[in-house]
Amino acid sequence: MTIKPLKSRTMYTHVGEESPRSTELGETNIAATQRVHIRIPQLPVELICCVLSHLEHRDLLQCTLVSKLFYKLVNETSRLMYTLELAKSRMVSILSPEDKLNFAHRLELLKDREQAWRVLAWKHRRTLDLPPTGSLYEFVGGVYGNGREGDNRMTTSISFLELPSLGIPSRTEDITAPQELKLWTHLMPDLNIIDFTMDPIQDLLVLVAVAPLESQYVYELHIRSIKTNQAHSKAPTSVFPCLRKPLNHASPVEVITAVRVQVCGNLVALLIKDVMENSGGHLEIWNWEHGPQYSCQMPRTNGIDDFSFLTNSVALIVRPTGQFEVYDFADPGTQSSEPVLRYAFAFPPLSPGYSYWYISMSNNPTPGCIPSPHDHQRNLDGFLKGHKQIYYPNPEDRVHACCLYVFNPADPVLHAVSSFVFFVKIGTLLNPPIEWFVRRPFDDEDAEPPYCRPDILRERMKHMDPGWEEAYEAEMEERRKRKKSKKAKGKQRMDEDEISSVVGEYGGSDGAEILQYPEPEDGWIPIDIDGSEVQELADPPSDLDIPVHGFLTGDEHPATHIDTAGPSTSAPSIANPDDASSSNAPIDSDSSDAGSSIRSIRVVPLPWETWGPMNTRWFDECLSTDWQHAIYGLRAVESVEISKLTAERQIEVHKWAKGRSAEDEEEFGSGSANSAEASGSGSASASASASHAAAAGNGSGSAAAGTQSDGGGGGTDGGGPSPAPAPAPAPPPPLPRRERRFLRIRDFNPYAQTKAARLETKDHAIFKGKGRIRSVWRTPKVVTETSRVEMNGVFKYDIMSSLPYVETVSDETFDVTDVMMDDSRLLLLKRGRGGQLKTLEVLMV
Amino acid sequence: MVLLLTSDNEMFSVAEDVIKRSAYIKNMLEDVGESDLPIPLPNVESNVLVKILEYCEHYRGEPLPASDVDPAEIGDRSLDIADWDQKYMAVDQEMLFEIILAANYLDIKSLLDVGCKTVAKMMKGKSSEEIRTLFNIANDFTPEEEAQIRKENAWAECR
Repeated sequence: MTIKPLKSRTMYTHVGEESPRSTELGETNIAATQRVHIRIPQLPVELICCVLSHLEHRDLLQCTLVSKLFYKLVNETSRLMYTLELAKSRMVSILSPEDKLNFAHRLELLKDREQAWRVLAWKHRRTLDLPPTGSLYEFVGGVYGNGREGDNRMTTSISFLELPSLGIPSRTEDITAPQELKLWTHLMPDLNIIDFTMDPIQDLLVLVAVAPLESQYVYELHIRSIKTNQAHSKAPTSVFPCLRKPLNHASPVEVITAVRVQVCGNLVALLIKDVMENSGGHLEIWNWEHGPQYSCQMPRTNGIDDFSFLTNSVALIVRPTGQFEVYDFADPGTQSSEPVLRYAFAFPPLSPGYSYWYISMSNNPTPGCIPSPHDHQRNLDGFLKGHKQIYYPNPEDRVHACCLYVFNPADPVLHAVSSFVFFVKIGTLLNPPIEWFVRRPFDDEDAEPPYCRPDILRERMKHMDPGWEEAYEAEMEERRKRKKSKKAKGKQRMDEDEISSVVGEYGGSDGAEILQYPEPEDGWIPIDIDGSEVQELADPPSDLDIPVHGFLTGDEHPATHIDTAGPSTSAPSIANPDDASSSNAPIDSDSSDAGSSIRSIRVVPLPWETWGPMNTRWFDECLSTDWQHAIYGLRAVESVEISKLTAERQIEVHKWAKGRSAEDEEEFGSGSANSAEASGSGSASASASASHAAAAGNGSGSAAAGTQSDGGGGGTDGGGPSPAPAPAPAPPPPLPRRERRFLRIRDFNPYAQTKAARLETKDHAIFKGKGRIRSVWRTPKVVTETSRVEMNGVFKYDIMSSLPYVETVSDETFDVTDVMMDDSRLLLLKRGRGGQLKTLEVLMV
Repeated sequence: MVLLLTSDNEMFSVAEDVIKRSAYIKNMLEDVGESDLPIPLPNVESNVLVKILEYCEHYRGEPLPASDVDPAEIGDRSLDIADWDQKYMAVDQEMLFEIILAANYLDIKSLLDVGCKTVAKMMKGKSSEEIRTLFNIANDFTPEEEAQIRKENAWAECR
């Protein structure tokens, strides 16, 4: 120790009249007791703020209740207010360390933009010059990427267009000054590209290509730099092979299939929806910074319709039978492993004869990761300046859209596809209340509780009343006993404890089966399911135990496990849908030969009635929207035809939509005559008349259907099961003219529903001065009541759903086919008949 | 060696590389150069300085934090505190605040940060009433005012 009080040294200097004191312990203590006690309120305010800046919003809110001083500090310090404002918007800060943007400015930017979104008030709009466009596209991180096909109809080049942005406007800067936008094109003539995705913040471009003929694999991922088209510097190798070719397969292999590729930080996942003649789906996840030698693989002979990351260790898949499955997976950076099932969620049961044509999911930006400030700094500052973000949607607080396309294969009118979209928050899928799984009593003694991985169940029950676990254990024990006595059935079921590590293929349920499960206990969930139809279920098969094969190693091609009769995305295999339930149990005769572990697992998904009605919100008709890019955080945008909205809101909207003339204002009782220069959002006048509105009706489907199959979601993502040899439902016949559309934002952020949020937007500039009458239209509308989506014979009963949201509709119409959004932009796309992009207009919020 | 004179007139002789963790003293030494005169610290008492020097001594030889970036500023609100720091901060509340004040005065960023984190950690997850008890703060709200604030804060309850 170098510290030593210099007691009696001669150099001890001393000022004052007192005689030099010694630093005997006793004396020091006396000195201490004589001091004025310092308590936290007596610290200088900047130090109290320094303490408070380490607290989360919940703790800060508690602080506001402590005393007037604390209340004032929290509510008047920009830094602490920013913490609260981020929490209200469900955002997290991602500012890079070098950034010195002060908190007052950040707070202003955040509040301003959040309020602008709530009333759909964009500040600036710009129509872009487009590079030649093709059918594959992607929109991430302020960049619109568009593939272009060569003569062989394969994508041979991709153009990237930086989108205009308001950036981080300083208070004085002229935001209307045209911005120099980057546009660059990479040629890839040597690859057969079937899809791509990108993450400009990581300088990442991921190409999905068909592997060369001589390769042992069917597909390849190419990990490249989006700036240079060269191998990405962080990837040890740039080519990631995927899916071995079957050894004895007669080539050429039919390889053009629907795929989905998604990037989540250093993870990249590829879903191949139809592996070889529709024999199943194959999902593989890599850590692209570690190379292709390790991966998480998930072949599913019953098919996987879509995939999404939920976190960087949890993935969501949707099965063709109408069921979500949530899996945990280990980082494939240093080892290969098998994803392990956590929970399964059943969709509402379909009517007999109906099947899913396909199901697609979307959320944006990819949940599970937050851009690192370092990447942000390095790749954006010198590259895409305009897309700098200071905050980012909280990965745990996202809304997820799921689109269902349902048809009846036996129906002679094959193009009768019914489509629905529903929204669910990812928290519902990640952390369903434990009560959903341990609900008691079980009316039907044979009914098993919904599947929850035993270790999770045990862990979570610890946090419940001790009585719960005991009661649950007793119940399960009771069941085991009953089961033993019923052995006559000849099949063994596994104890929950024994299957802790087992996951795998199990017979899907088409909704009818799973509802052998009793209806929720009275009073448990206040659902108003219409009538008692839920109870009228098909008799469950006598035994749903299903052989499960473990995960295949890389050498066993999943295609060798022929899924003889399982439902798939292709129509023919479910030709007799009434048999679907019994044929849903695939018997993989070769899986034992292949050495996979065969174990029985019975996964009962959470019944729709338990999780769905309160936690989802359903809408019908979504053919016109590419939801993949129409969601950002907790918001979703869509364009909606005048006629549809008119009917919905029971207002004669078309009168308004005609144009922005003074008469219109008169009609709506405005005293102010001159409103042609309406509110800040410009004034393209709408031309659709009422007759158009009536005629167009469902007609947008023509353009939209093209959109879906030609370019949906980064190309084939949104497209149907394109390789399915036939009776793919035909799009509705084209109708003569496209109807103009309103824009509608739905915000699932609970804060938007609060009175405080409404008060904040009430004073927005758009509600003042000229055009204010029309702007009333843009007042956010809180929707909390339960809505009913008519089943139209597709589902067994009407779908009731009540996830609350706030809706804002534009007071202006647009000539668009689809619309996309991100943190600060709305992209209005207008496509031609073939789905090719004609114009792209950007509204900057 | 550097001489420091505390508010209660105690003289301390400290190795330069130890005390340089204090940006205040480091700057002063750079400005003033070698000197035999003690540096007066009128805001720091000897018992607090002993504690501060214990901290500087422990981190002697470790590089000074390169950037002055506040982790909380970029959204990192983790209240993780190194084991040694936790033990070091296991003092009564008054000393804790004295350390924070002294660290602020002497401009020892890392110590100030640990001190503030320690206090924040004490507050984390507590109700307003518990925070009042913890720091012996009087409630100066009327029940009506309190009810009003609870209403304002209700947004955080909706999921």
